[in-house]
Amino acid sequence: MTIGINLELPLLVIDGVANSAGYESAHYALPSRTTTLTWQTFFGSAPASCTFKLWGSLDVVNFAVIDTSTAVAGELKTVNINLGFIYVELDAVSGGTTFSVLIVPKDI
Amino acid sequence: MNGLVTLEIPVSELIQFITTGLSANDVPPPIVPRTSGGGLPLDFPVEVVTNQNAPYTGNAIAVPSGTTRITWSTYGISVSDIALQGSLDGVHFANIDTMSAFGAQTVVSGTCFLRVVITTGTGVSVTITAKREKL
Repeated sequence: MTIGINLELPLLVIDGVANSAGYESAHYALPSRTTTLTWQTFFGSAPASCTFKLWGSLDVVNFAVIDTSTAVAGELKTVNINLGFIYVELDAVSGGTTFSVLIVPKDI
Repeated sequence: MNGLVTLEIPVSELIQFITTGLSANDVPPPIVPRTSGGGLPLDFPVEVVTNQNAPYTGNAIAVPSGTTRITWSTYGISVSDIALQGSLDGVHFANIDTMSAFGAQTVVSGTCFLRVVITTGTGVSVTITAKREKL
């Protein structure tokens, strides 16, 4: 399922999910004018290690990693993108309890 | 009536107008302290921390829609560990920039909220300017 999101409105794409390596969010269609994407990770309690991957696509079929986060205290990152679709994956995790991810697209 | 009009203008304003071409109303306002949270304007410096000692965590401050660059400057008596934190929900914060001495830095971030955390420092003040610019 692909879900549309709005410019300038932060969206909780992963909401307090129990730590599970390989977990993927839904696929999100970005607004047409999106040029930057800011995403933030945070945890119920900090894991010993983790790797989040932000995946992007032009056709919602072929995805590539466009950013990665490994900060166990949570992180807020901004990337320049010109894509139509994204999703977030918790690629690897050790320890911790739950994790969440927020994203916000902007058209600057 | 002889056709003459008399205007009462303070001498200081007259001198200012002659030397700068600006009236008193045209002079940019000073940096505004706003340490109780709220929101920031675009392109306008706001003093969000005034003379604080560590440990200190400032209030969450909303940034304007479209903000992609944030310039922050620190000044005061001493500082060796201070962080600018961002958040998309106003609750969970993460460092987006740090300083180990007084200075001014610009960070590229599409954050929606900001706050300042002073871990080590005394008499610290912080001014922030939010900008909407192409990355």
